[in-house]
Amino acid sequence: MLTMKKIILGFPAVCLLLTGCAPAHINLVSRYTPSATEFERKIPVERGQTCKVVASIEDARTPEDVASGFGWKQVESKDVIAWLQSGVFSLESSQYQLVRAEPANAVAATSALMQTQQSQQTLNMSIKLRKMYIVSLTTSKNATIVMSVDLSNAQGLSIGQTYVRGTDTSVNWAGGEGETNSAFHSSLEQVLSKIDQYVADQCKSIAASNTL
Amino acid sequence: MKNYFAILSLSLLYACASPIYKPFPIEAGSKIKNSDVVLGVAQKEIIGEILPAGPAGGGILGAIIEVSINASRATAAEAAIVPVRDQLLNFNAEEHLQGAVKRLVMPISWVGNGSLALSKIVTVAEYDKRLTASEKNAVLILTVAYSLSPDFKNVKVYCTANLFPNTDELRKMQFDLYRSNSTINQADAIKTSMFNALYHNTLTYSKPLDVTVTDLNGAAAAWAANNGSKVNAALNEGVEAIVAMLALDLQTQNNLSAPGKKVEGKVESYQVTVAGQSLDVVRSEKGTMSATGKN
Repeated sequence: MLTMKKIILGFPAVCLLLTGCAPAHINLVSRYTPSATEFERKIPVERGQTCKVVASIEDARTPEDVASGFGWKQVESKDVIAWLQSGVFSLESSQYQLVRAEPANAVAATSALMQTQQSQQTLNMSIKLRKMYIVSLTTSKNATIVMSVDLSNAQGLSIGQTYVRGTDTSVNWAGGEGETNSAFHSSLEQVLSKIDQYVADQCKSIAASNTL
Repeated sequence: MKNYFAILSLSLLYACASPIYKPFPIEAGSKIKNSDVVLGVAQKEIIGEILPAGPAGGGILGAIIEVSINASRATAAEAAIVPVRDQLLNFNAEEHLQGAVKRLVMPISWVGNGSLALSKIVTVAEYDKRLTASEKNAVLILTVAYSLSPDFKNVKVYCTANLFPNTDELRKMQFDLYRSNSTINQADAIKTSMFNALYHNTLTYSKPLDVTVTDLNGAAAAWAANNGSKVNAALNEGVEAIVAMLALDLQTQNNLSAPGKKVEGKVESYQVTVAGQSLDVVRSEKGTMSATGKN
């Protein structure tokens, strides 16, 4: 006799059968939209701020590492860089100003910006996607994003490097596209919060050393 | 039912690992001129294993409690494992594995001029595609996973190895040996199902932590200490050990070497050399092989 427990626990199994005809791909969105709580916690822009950060983002994963599965489904992103860029540049309301650049000319753009704006606080920030994956953990799932952040000055000299990791562990209902996107959104939200804090700290530190 | 999710997850991770042992048929050696080798590693970082929750009473409440316990354990494990993962950001398991396979498996005579390919997609569909595309006599598919045990006190490396025939002669040999469950003659069957393997085994390496710890965070900190020296050493040894065990298994006659017949063997011991050190290997009575790293 079927008990309620069996029905509940058997639900994912039924989903497996029902999704036999479902698409074998999970498509990730290409645009990050900050949640309402993120907007609320942001510090308002301080006009006239002097810390300018020329930011570039690139995918540093190997071709093999880009391939990703979740259960039997392929996880695909048409434009992961666009998604990350929309996330990183949503940070612009913080204590620094981000300026977009392509990875190939980011250092030159930083130098040019420093000369034209006569700003001592002009940094180059190179963000690289190192890992991005989602896995099943018994009845849960975990989405992880790891990025490296390299800060250098206008001359290209390193100021600091850090790794930032965002991870979301939640119940895996049916391994669907919506919940997969939601898990990655949550992971990126954590990554962005850490980048925000890191850049703000570096800008403060430079400002403090300039006033000495 | 409580093991349903564990089995499901492990099957996805380990590509339907099975305790059934199919020894390499010695007579196949002369019939295989060359073989492609596919190395399947799905994971991007070390896995923190989760012990699925036991029964938490009947009814919907019990089921909800069970799922909640699993979620809680998963969350705790994923948070605790971060220091270990951070120390392994530059650890390239695939590179180590490919190096070991090139040294220990590719020189086997029946591999011949076969190629070695890495697959980050570990599904039967992907494996079927690779078997179909191969122009060699056989395809050896190795699915590897590495993890911390549920209490984080052991580093584990697993390998499920399957050799699939790719000529009519070898397919006939496979069918004759395993006709009771072989689906090799069915056009719509999964080609890389373990039922259609000419050789199959599961190889496991385990390395215990050499310090006393009381919880997941303590164990993770111990593995991650000194720039992750302990976890790096264990994974390097584990990768070498499973490939060394595989090479040994593919070339050694043992008391279970009776393809196609159910033989209850006895436990056997071997030794493999890993990084110049001798490592004890045990073959269980069912044929699977395991090694434990020394401290």
